[in-house]
Amino acid sequence: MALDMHLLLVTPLEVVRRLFTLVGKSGFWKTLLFSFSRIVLGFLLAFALGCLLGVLSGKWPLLETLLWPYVITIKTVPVASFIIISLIFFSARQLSTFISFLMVFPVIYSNVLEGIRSTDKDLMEMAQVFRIGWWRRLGYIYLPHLKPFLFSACSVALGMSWKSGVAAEVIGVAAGSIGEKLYESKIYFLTEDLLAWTVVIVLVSVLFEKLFLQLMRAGFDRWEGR
Amino acid sequence: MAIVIEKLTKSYGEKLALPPFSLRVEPGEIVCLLGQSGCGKTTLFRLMLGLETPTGGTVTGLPEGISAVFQEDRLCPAFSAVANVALALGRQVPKGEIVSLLRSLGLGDALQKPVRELSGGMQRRVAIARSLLYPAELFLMDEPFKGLDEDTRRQVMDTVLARTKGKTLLMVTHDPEEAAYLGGRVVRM
Repeated sequence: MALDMHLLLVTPLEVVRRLFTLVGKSGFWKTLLFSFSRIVLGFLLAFALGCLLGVLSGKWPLLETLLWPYVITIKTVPVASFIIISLIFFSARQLSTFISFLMVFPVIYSNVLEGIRSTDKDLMEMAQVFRIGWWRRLGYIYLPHLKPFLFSACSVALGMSWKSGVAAEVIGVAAGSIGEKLYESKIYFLTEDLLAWTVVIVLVSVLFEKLFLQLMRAGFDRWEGR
Repeated sequence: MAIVIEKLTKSYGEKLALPPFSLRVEPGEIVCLLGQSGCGKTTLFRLMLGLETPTGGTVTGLPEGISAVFQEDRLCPAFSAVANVALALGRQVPKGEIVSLLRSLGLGDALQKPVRELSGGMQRRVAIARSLLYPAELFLMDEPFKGLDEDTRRQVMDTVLARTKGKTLLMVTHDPEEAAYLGGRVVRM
């Protein structure tokens, strides 16, 4: 069988050239914004809920017990299964938000819970003796202790949100998404497009990770510098 | 109202952390507890602070407000000296008073630095300031002056005496000279 090698394997230069061509097209930014907004929304919702429930589970162990079956299910069920099941309930356009949320939530939740559990017992006793209220404990004792847990969790979870979100778009063939472009590249053997869009995903994912972690660091610095 | 400790004891399984101990402390009294390491001084304070449940015995007459200097500084490392003291006080004490006390303890240059950047002796003084400003009738201080050089120690001891005047002070120390300087009753454990 004769294969056109150009079709299957492309050089990095061709990918870069294709990337510039794509960036120049009017639909590029729309597609990027479509996927970015949905995947990042899923991440942010999971971050907020993961932090909230992680802190509350650290305070009330009963809540941790109640959430455990859900968290363990999300952690162990393959993402592809979730995507296909979710397609029954969600439109393909919203799917990436839900899947990104689903993959990120256990990472944030587990790390926050672990951070709360490992908080310095000496400081907690100090807070008890000086009758420091729960909100102040959260801000001055728990939050600084959670810092490394949050950074590590977010670093992992941000990459996961993009991988799972785009996978959801590919399987659901969400119209107007990056996932759809990847799907089309597969159908039409557009290897250049496939790799160019992959580069876009990697770049956006890395840039957003840097930005988010930087904002978080600035937030912590501002709070601790009071 | 006097604080009465009667046959207070604490065991962790087979290990006896505090052998039966009795003591009566009159209001406003200064009591220095001396004893070898492991004789139960810190355990006694933990029981009085409600951080442990006694295996036997009773403590009565404890006031509502109890302040403490722990054996460790127990400061929030990322926050400044002022923030650490303010954390324990809420809005009960004006910030100016916190700054003034920290300055009088020789921490004028370190008010806004994160306490993790301060020396051990400076951190100790922040912990002492936190305890002194907390509205309390009873002060429990577990080796409060350890790690302080001679001059600073005298200065801090004077501040402690001035600030706890009329209040009850129980202090653990290994140094009989310290106990003599504070001029209180010495109890050997």
